[in-house]
Amino acid sequence: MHLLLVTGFLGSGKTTLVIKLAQAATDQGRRVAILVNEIGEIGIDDQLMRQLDLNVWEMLNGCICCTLSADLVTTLQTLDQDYDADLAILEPSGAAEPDNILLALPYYRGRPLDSIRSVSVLDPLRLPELFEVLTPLITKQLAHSKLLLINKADVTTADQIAEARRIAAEVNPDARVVVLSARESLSPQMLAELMPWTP
Amino acid sequence: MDPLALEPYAARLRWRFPEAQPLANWQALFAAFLDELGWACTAAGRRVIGHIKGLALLPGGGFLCGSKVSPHYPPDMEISGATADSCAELELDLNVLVFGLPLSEAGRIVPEVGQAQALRWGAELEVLALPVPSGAEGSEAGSFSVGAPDRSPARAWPCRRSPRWVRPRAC
Repeated sequence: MHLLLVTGFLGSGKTTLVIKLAQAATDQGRRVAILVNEIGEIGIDDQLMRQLDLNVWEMLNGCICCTLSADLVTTLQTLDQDYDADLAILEPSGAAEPDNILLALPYYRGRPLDSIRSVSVLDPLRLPELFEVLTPLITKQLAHSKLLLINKADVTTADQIAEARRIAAEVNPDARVVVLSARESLSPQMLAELMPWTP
Repeated sequence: MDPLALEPYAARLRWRFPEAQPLANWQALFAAFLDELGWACTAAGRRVIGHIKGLALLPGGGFLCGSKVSPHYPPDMEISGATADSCAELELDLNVLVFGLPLSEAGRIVPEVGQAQALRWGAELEVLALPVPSGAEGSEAGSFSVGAPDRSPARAWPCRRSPRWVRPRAC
């Protein structure tokens, strides 16, 4: 089972990206499970994904980077043992700290994971404001991943993308930055990067 | 209140028209509601929208959803998989995640803004009990049950608690 962690702040477009990836993997005949951790008392993303016939495991009433980290481990084990997933896509809440999530993985006792990949999604429309107001959280989310996706390219200006690039480079100079619109189709290169079996 | 604190608010809102409305009207109504809600939630103090997200399942299948992430940008709306052209009633599940917005204030703003929009559009609005989530479960295991509203104490976000996990028992 491959594990893909899709992080990013609330409203950055994580769910849209996850749906696109899950549909692409399913089209390739892969068995995909999506683990969604939402803040709030109503799970909206999981309802939406179920409407699209995707297999969703929701984790509510807590955060998988702290209070639900044990649930994450047991859910991953269930996916490995009972569901035989090829790909588990993990979408933490937009307020989660990604590094804490990875700290729980050593307690996973299923078959060894084939790969662990992580991508952070950024909203260039709001990144400057969020970076100023919620600096610690945004910094952790940006610093976590080697691949940063500047999303919403279809509705942003060149200046907004340039500013998002500047902030991304300031926080995480080693990361690769890709500009895309998750609402539109994902490039074959992006699919190959996030789904390792893709030719 | 800590200006960075996040007190999640959720509600289920039932909207009803005297006659069936085309889905385009429903989309316009929910877009106006989310837009107004975004402004109302950030009107006082230094507040930052995480997101304000709503989802309505359509009769016969499909959904109408919308997301508002900034008062300065219109909500992002989508209709997908609809089999009916119109309906007279929809339930909108709503999550309001606004940093710096106290739960009590969200609980006042949402019905107020909703009632104002309902009046403007000639609809009726009812705030329903929330579904009670049952923790981690897969699609194949079913969904949550509907019961009394969960009024557990508001949680502070982002996380400031120490990571906690339990070692699985040895086989």
